[in-house]
Amino acid sequence: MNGEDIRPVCTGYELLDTLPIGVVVLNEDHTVIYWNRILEKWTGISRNSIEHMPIQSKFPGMLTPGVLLRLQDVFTSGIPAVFSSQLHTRILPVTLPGGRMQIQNVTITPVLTPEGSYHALFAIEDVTDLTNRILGFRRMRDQALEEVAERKKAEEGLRVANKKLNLLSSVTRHDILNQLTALLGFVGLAKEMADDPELHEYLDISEKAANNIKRQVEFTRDYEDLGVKAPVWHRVEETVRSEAGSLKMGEITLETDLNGLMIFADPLFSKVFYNLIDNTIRYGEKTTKIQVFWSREGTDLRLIYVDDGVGVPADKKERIFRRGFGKNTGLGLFLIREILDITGLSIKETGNESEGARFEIFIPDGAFRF
Amino acid sequence: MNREPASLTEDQMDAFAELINIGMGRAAGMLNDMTRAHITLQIPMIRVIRKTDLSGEIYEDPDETLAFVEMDFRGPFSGVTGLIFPAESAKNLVAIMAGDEQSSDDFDAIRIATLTEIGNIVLNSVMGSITNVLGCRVSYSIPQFSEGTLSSITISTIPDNAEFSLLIKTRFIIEKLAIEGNILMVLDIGSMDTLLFAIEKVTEG
Repeated sequence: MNGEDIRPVCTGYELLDTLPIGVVVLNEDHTVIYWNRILEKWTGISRNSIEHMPIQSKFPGMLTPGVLLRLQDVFTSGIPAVFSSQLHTRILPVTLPGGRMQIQNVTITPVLTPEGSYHALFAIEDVTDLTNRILGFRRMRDQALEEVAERKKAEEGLRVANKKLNLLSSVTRHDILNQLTALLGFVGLAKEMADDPELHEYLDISEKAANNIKRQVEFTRDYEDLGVKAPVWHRVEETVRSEAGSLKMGEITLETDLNGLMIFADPLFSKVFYNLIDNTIRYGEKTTKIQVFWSREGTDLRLIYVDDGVGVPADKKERIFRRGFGKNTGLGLFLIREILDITGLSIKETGNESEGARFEIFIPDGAFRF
Repeated sequence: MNREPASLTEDQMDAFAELINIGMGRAAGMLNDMTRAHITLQIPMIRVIRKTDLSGEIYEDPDETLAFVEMDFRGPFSGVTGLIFPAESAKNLVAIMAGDEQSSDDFDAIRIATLTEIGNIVLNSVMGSITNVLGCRVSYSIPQFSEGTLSSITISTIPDNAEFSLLIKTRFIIEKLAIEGNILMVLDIGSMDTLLFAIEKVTEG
């Protein structure tokens, strides 16, 4: 301990040396009665050089008229006064390392003396870091709000544009389908009237091409709705049975072991099973049975669709999900993958050719429940 | 349990209202200086009320978010004085006083300190003028800020055994700046006799 720190005269304020805030006590004529250690450290002014001196001798600009007026109230009425950093920035100028000025909150508390007058105790809190953090936080928040507003604006713009595109798509689809109906009608009439087998063959090809166009146009209706509505929970058992019921299954049987499984997916989720079953019926050739069940994989789950048809050749397992690949429209499995992808589900074909097709849908934790 | 105290006489009420008016008038003047806008001050409402009814008497809408700066005082007469605003008005006031652009709705530490200082200035002028007229010495707490609905704000009345308090409420409006609020004083009923005696002494003198 430095010998100069031991003071022979006790003012009663020594306890305030232990506080982590700056403390200065003035009497009514603004003479410094007490100057604590934190202030010595902040200002580089020792208590020996400032105590018993008017505060203005070291800080001539400290008692501005506004501060002086309220300080006077402390001395006359004994009412405390607070000075906030936003309205004053600082009362006692303190230079921080690096040259910036300290930002302060100051409270002046009256201390009644035995003589019946008041001392003014200035409690000076360094709020530089706090203020800078708050200002930084405000800037971040403003920026985030600005970005949210921009994004909302962009989303609204996209929503309007999407609505217009959908309307255009819907009107165009309607018009094309009308023309196709007429075309198919006339091709049918022409086929009835054509005696030439070569011409008949050409008309068959034309009819097939027109039907393909029709299916492709109808596909756009499904794809247009994809991701438009919020995902919902689907009861898989009900979905599979309902879609199988809407198709001509013939001799093919359906077996399920799903135990109340529910999946969080796009409202078009039923199309997944419609297209899988439709593919089995169309291309399975020797299919007698479809099975749908699930298996756990850690915290995740696999939903498995199996048929006992001819299966998928090894070199086509990935390509079947590409748009346009396939024997019919080439859009069914592409649509399935797109529907599942919306809620983070994925699908792959894992069967052995000749043993049948096996589609595994990967469902992450959180996207299924029972 | 206490019984309801006798009402103030008309003379006492007049003297008391005049004293309060001096304090409230000075507070309004202070607000006027700070905002440079015209303050409409309503006639103070002075009423003896049950402590349990205090919250309901202080503000009309129990669900509105309020900002409240209060100081309690003890001495020959004791109680609490406060400045209470709807949160929106408080934010407007801080924005005007500090040139603080209202980028967010939060009362962060900077805005709380600013509002506490504004409350301190206004409340000091109320209390300073009253104690100066009466020539008595009162000790005060450091001003405190709170925010919330009435049920979440605790009005820190002196924990005595009295069932009743004296509520003095003055509503002010700064129409131009969309600011409104109330200046309150809740007096410990046990202090009434001392206070009335002090008022009588001043009016007689």
